[in-house]
Amino acid sequence: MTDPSTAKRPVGFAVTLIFLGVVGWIAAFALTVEKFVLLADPDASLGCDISVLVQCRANLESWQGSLFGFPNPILGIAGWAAVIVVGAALLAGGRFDRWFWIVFNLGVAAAMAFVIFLVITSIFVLGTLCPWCMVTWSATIPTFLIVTLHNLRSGTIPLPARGRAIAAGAYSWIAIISLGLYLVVAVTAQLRLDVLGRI
Amino acid sequence: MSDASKKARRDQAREHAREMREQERRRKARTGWIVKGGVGLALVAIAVVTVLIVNNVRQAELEAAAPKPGPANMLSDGILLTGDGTGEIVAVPTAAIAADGTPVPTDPTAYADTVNIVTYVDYLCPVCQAFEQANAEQLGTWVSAGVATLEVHPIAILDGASQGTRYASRAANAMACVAEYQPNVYFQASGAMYASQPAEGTPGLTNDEIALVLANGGVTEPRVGDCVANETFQQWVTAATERTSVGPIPNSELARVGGTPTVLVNGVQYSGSINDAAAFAAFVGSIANGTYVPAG
Repeated sequence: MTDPSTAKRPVGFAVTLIFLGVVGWIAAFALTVEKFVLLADPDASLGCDISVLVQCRANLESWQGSLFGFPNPILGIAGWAAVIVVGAALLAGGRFDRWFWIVFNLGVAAAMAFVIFLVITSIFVLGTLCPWCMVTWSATIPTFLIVTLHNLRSGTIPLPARGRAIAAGAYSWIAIISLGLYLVVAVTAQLRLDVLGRI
Repeated sequence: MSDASKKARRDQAREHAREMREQERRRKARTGWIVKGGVGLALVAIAVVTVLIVNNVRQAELEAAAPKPGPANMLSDGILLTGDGTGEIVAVPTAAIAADGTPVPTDPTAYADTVNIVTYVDYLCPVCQAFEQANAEQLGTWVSAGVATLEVHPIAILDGASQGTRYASRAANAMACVAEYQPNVYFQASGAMYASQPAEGTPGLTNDEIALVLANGGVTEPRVGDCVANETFQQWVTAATERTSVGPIPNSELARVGGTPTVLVNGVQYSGSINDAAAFAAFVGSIANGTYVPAG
């Protein structure tokens, strides 16, 4: 017999959140450190500066890289920690009120919107591919999908039964949907920046 | 039958049903992952194909836009025909204009002993046809006898008069192909093009039909057909036409070619009757013996 206290623990969901949170947090932390290095010595060579195309200097130095007046990765350090904590709390049997889920979902949706802005900025304005930024994009996309679809299928975000069923179906396709979105970014970058021709 | 054995059978059946359900669940999960893997691979394939197609299109655009050399034997933008001393008309061999290069005008001092006739023609222009039909015979006689040279500049100013098929450009390209591959039949082939000239405002001849006209006009070199079909010298036709409309026209006082045919004899523009062979002969004669007096 299954232990009733663990029966409803969304283990897969929680572990995925923790994993994505850790990946995103590491990227944000690395970018923050690179920003410090750059502030201390503007001529310093950054570990992530590989070529004109693959670099994070241009991204860190751009105004879009500090959109709210401070370096974006500081948001990442705070935000991804929240994702890790939510995942860990769920794994420990924690339950959250509806308002908590909605606020959390708003947070990841804002992150997703920000990432879309940063992807477009990086590819079309700066013309660079910044390694740690790409890790951040890669983590944010599935995080947004998994949280949103989880809330939709569980009814936290109210939806008719049919919509919930669709969300539940889409939930099992998150890996493939994420892959599709990665490919959209990759193809856009290739067509715009000729990545393969410049490596 | 004892209760114990009944219970054992029931448990066995229950266990069996449970196993079936479990197997079914695993089968579904497996099928699900196969479907997802397939969709994932399909997405990757679509991405790769998209990149390949766009790259190909871009490559083709780059190649089309990349500067190409002009036709050989037309370094001056025209083909210079002279007599070979035995009564045949031959073309003076020259290099081609290099890709992105500019033409080198013919040096008239090298042809001081002949009357040097230069024509700017559009193979769709009816007046050019009239000039050709009136004067081809005497031009051929003068050139083959070595008393005159003829430099023909095919240009395309009438592309707007062929229902969008750009016949003038394609015809000029075809004659550049002749100059490139079989320059010595240019004069004859040119006559054939005028003899088969389509009316303005019609779609004109297709490239295949042009190749056929050229073949009937003495072109035997098989590469000319491909050159006509691929419009190999299209870029040069456009550039050469542009140069005549901007000017100045070398070896003359002419600022630009204002229309076709523009006929220059030792740099002096012929303004007499286009289809009067005698008038043109008289004009050429007066230039040749120095008795020509400009009007006004």
